[in-house]
Amino acid sequence: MSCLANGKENVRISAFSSLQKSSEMSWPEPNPLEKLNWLIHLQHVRGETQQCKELIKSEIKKSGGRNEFAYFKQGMILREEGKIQEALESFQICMKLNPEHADNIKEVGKCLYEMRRFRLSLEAYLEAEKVSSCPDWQIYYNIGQCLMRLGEIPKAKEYAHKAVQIGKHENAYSLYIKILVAEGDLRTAVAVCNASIESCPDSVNMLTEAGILCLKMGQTQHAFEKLSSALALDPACSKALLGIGCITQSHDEYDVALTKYKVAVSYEPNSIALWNNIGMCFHSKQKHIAAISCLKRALWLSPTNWRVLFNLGLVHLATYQAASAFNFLCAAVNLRPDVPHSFTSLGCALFELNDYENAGRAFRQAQALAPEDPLIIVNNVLCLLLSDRKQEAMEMIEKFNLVAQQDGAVAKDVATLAEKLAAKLEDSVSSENRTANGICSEHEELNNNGDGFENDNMAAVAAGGRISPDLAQHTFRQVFVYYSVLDKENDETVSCYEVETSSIMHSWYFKMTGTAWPTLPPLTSRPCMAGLDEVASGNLSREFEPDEV
Amino acid sequence: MSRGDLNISRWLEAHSDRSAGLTTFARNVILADVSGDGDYKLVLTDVRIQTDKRSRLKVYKGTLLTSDQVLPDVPSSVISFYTDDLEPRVPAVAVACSSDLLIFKNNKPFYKFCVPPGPLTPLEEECWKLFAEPNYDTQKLITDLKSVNFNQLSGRSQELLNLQPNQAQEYIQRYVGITPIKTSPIVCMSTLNRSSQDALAVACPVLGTEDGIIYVLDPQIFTVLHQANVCNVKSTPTIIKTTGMYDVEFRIVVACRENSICVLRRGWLEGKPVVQLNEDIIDLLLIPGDNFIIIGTTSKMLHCYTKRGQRVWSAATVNAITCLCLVPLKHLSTHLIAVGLKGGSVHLYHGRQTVDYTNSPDTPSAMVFGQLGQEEHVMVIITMGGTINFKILKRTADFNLSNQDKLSVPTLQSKPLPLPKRSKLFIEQSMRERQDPMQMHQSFQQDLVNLRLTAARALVQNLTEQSGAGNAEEQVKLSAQILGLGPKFTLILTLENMNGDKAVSNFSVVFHAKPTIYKLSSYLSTVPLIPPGLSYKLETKVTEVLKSGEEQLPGQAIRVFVIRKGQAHPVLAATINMPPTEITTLLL
Repeated sequence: MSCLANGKENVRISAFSSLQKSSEMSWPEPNPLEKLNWLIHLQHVRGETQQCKELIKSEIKKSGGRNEFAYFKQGMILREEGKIQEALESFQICMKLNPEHADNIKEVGKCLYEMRRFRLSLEAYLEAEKVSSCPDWQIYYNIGQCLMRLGEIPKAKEYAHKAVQIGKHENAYSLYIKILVAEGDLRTAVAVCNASIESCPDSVNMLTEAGILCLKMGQTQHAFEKLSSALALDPACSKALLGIGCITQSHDEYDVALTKYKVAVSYEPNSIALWNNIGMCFHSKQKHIAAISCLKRALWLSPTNWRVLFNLGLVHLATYQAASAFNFLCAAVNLRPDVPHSFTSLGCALFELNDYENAGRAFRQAQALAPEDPLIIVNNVLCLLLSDRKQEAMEMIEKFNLVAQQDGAVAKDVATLAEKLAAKLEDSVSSENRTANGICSEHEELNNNGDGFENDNMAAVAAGGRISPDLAQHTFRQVFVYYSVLDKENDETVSCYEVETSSIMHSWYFKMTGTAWPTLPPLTSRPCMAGLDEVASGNLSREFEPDEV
Repeated sequence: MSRGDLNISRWLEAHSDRSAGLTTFARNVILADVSGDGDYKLVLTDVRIQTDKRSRLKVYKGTLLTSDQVLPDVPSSVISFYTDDLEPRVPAVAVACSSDLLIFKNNKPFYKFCVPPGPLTPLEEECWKLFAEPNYDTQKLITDLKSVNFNQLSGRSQELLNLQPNQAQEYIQRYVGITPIKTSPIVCMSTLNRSSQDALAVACPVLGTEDGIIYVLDPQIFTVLHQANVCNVKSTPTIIKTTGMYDVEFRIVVACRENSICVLRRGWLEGKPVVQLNEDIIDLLLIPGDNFIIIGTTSKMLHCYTKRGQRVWSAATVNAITCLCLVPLKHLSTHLIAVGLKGGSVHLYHGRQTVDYTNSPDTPSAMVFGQLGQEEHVMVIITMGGTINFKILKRTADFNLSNQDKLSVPTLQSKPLPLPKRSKLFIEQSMRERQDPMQMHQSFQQDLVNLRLTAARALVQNLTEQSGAGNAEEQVKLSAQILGLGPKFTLILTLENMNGDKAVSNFSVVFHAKPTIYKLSSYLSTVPLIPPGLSYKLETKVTEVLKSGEEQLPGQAIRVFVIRKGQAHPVLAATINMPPTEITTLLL
């Protein structure tokens, strides 16, 4: 080796280069312009943007503005830097230089898409489709996305389907699934999800998506499997953790659910659904203060989320803070006047506040929304009973029996309560004087059912007078039991909406806040009757409006 | 592996030269036994892209530079391969420069291979034939050439089109009579063993060109053994890796600029895309044995795919990836992946787990691991700053690979939830509410109704008075001045246009006053156009109607509205409180 360094080598080199020259006879063939394209690409992907830009500049100068690839990369870099308009110009030069290259048109389309000019973007992609020599899933996918943005869902679906068929790529699948979910075709969406999992078996996103879709369809077992395999691949996937947590929570395994949520929340500390579910876990574990703080955090993140407001109302009812509960439930009712159970709970809160008249209205409204719900009927009966409208109460009991006969799936505790109420009703109709004793004994019986909720003070009051607050309490408890279940079911939708970031939910929220509240007042201070006004007939509102105006 | 284990580095810092000043890219560094004496040398290219400087091929024996040769062009890749089975076994080193492959043996130029030229467009060929003919209109031919798609022209025509018109004639004269060649630069290279898997076996160079063609060359006579397109759509290769043997069965894995991975097998004339990524590919490795494809991408991810394109795993790296390097450890019968990260660290991955990390002086630009000199496990890192760094892997390093599985347990579950502590105030408030929720509710509702009432009253008052009916858009200012003691007053209104660039017009001023008290000289006066920034003064005489015997009122208000023609709502409204007439002065 040492002999190589002693200068002989240099002689060789010159010989080598002269040899090269002589073979070409004085003028070597000029190098093609694209000889440094590889270096431009390498510097770009390695993140050496500055050097890359300089190289591009010199290459463009050298080629007299004709190096297509240099312009292409320049466009890429500019777009990464957020200078989309300049990037677009760069890509347009590429298009001018080589109008037959579909990639250039695709990039122009992408720039236009990022500039939110979807119509133009769509046109660009359609052009690319024409130019492209063979079917390209990316073009179809992007056309689908543009059509989605333009609101032409059926056409978008067609293109998404094409993209899926050609590319079998995860992005194409997720677009297709998104469209199917938006159309409400969950069954097909699940099928597509399963197909996508087959083609990319390790895709955490797809597994999670499939799990959540299964949850929506109520196939808990499948959902659990899918979400578990997603978690096996990525133990930190907060979406999957939320899904798994929901399932375990609805099986009353609150500690398991909590551990899942804990992990998830450390990755995604601003998730409304997570904090809401954590709150309800604590609620189920009778840790009301923790529940309230979690739910309040969720509310702070999303002040117009009716689920969180509703849950806060429930928790406050459980802690005997009826006045606060009333405010939260009111806000919930205002946001979603079509949910019967919000009205039921609102009725309970009013009931607790001794406002039988308005409680009755709330129950009636709930019943108008869901005439077949045994739980609402039972609560209504109780309200009627306590406001001495025994005739109507009797009618209600009859109706309850009818409903209970029709579908046998009435919850057991609801049924027993209804029985007791019926018995009491007859009792009180026949001999009104003996009511107090009757309720007293009834109360003891209820106490024996033992849920630790009735307190002794209340019992004492009950024994003395005609009201039976603990009976009422028991009814609330029914509502709670029912609700914590419902809440979990709904949470999946919460999580889904979070996950999808689809415009549907958001626009819905916007509409709500836009029409009902031009200037969003603090939610908690919204009085209930305003809410009732909006749904019930105008008569209700009159007495609450200041006459002076 | 505990944290304590990590502190003792598994790497010995052998040598680091910050003044080396090298510009070397990935796939431009190899370790090869260039002189055939079993003493492995480091061969690398030092790239200079400036036109006045030349790139060099450098050979290091240990840490000493022993050979430094000028290259005719910017090199894109370096490989070494054995051309024959003759003893002593001396490998050839091949450097790709533009469209030529320069082959060196024993550090001496050995052969030059030129990539076969691509097809010329008939028009261009015709043009150059016509250039040779005397008295032909050069300008017309140049216009003809311009009509051809620029990318399809040969380098010669491309340069011609970029020349000034006065230079063109001379330029054409240089090449007259020679048919132009359309060449495509070599952008990446690799080697493919010919008929044996042995490390010292004869191997074929595999070249990838800018226009997307893969050539497999015969190592002895340097002719094209096999030629194939990368893909059926336009794809430019950036990295080529191979596995298998040319004579038996092989797989050429090509990473493309279009972010796809294509696979080419024996006998195929066209590659098949197996993976399509959404982000750019920085580097690619093939793990020998199970043939997994490892890809480093710009989104700080390391992906592992099977040879059929199914993703096996993905791992996120802490920083942006700049290069990858395979670390084969025969004594542990495993392969690690060294990942060079921006900022100057090198992480070693075993599968998806990080097993070790080591540092480099700054961001690594190229890495190579293998035998150097007599030492078997040496890692050479060339950084972006030009430093050359040698590291030796300790022989005791086993990377704790046997107890790998314990690492992957997430440790987050033990952390408690970040819940706020229950405050005393909160408890007190809830106790208060519990004690008397009804009263609280009622007083709340009452206050709320009161609040609404107050708000409604304020609104009504505001609506009836119309005072403060200001319009922020209009930017008109009204000021009033009252002169006189009474009963005759002079009311001077000043209307100022605050808008800097727009004149206001079509304004008029309306006065409201109780006719039983005040008489005005005019109740409606039109305002002429007020140019931007200027003001207009308006004078009105006001006479108070005095009735003897009646009690003097303490002074009344006159309301002024500035209105715009054709607009129901006033632009401005103001109330002017008139001073009472000084009776005493009247008496005087």
